[in-house]
Amino acid sequence: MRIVLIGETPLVFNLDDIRQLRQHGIVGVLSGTLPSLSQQNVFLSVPLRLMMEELLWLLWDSPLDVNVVGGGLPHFSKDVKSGQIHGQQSALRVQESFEQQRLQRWENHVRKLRLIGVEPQPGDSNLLEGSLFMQTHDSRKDDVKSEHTSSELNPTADQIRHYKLYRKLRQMGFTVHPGGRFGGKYVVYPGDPLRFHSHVVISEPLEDDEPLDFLQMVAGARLATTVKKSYVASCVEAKGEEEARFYSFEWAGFG
Amino acid sequence: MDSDYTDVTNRIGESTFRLVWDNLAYAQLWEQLRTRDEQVEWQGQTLQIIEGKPPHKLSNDDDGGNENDHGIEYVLPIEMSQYKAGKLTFKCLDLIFDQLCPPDARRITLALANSDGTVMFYFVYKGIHKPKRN
Repeated sequence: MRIVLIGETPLVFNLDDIRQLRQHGIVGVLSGTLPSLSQQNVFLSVPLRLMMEELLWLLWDSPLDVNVVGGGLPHFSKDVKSGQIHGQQSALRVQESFEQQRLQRWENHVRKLRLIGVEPQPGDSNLLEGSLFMQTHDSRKDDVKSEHTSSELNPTADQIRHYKLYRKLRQMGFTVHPGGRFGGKYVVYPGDPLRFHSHVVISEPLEDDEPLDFLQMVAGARLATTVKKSYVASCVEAKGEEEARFYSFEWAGFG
Repeated sequence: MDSDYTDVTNRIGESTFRLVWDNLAYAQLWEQLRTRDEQVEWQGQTLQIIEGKPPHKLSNDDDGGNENDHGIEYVLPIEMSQYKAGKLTFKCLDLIFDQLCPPDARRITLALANSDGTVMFYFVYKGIHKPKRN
């Protein structure tokens, strides 16, 4: 299975792979859309975007054979200056190309009109503007080396902390989904999200001596209660090998 | 009304404990209110639990099952300060569940007392707990 890692975003492009991931409890988020016909949230297509936790689980704990491929960065996106230079150069190329096209089209236009004995009007050139275009390639032509192996993957301490939380939730039998919509880090389902209702919103992991923010807890728990969920605070210690732990909060229904 | 509460005062001199006790007794109409003996010192505060019986059951999940269930709830008054970080940590919650409430308690009820006199009540369960049925 091929997973493309662009920056810190793992992407899956193959539909069969996506189906297989789903069978292993990795749901991800579809993210593909067309710039000219953009869709919001629903009806999105491939690529499937994964969380870093999901990628780490695939590499470290899953039976699947995963090949992580770096997207590589085009040379012009490496720093601001070369980015600006690249931008100016490509704007110049577009202008030159448009100028040529204008000339060519105007000549064609005039020739066609003269054939039928009509004198061209200066305003006609506005019509031609709409037909100018420049073709862009849908695959890269530069020679960026894009392949790199999973051994180079170097997760941060924070990513590993989230991974410990993610792994614990999976071990408990939950399917884990991003939880931003419900004010948490994850929302967990007892099975496939299309078949089950989620009862639990999981918070960002805390250290065991890190205080709970009461206002956040109240906001999270009140929201969760109205959508028939519990707000669950989680604890993962950065140091030590202890597993993630949980306390659930729920509005008592009075006061 | 029995008033053997311990006087834990907050920054502006109000008793968080007293506020919660009075709220339970006179606003929520709880009965058999009693201060439990166990105490824990936590970051300059004495934590102590009020137990009592609400006038009706608080959750649809409470009926049946547990034979020791007499409808007694365990309430932990704690100051909710809006302008600085709270003091409730996982370590503190461990202490509360281990040392303050009886081992068969299914949950504690956190009573967050505000400096404006309002009190909010939230259930706390150990581990991942499904929400109550409506």
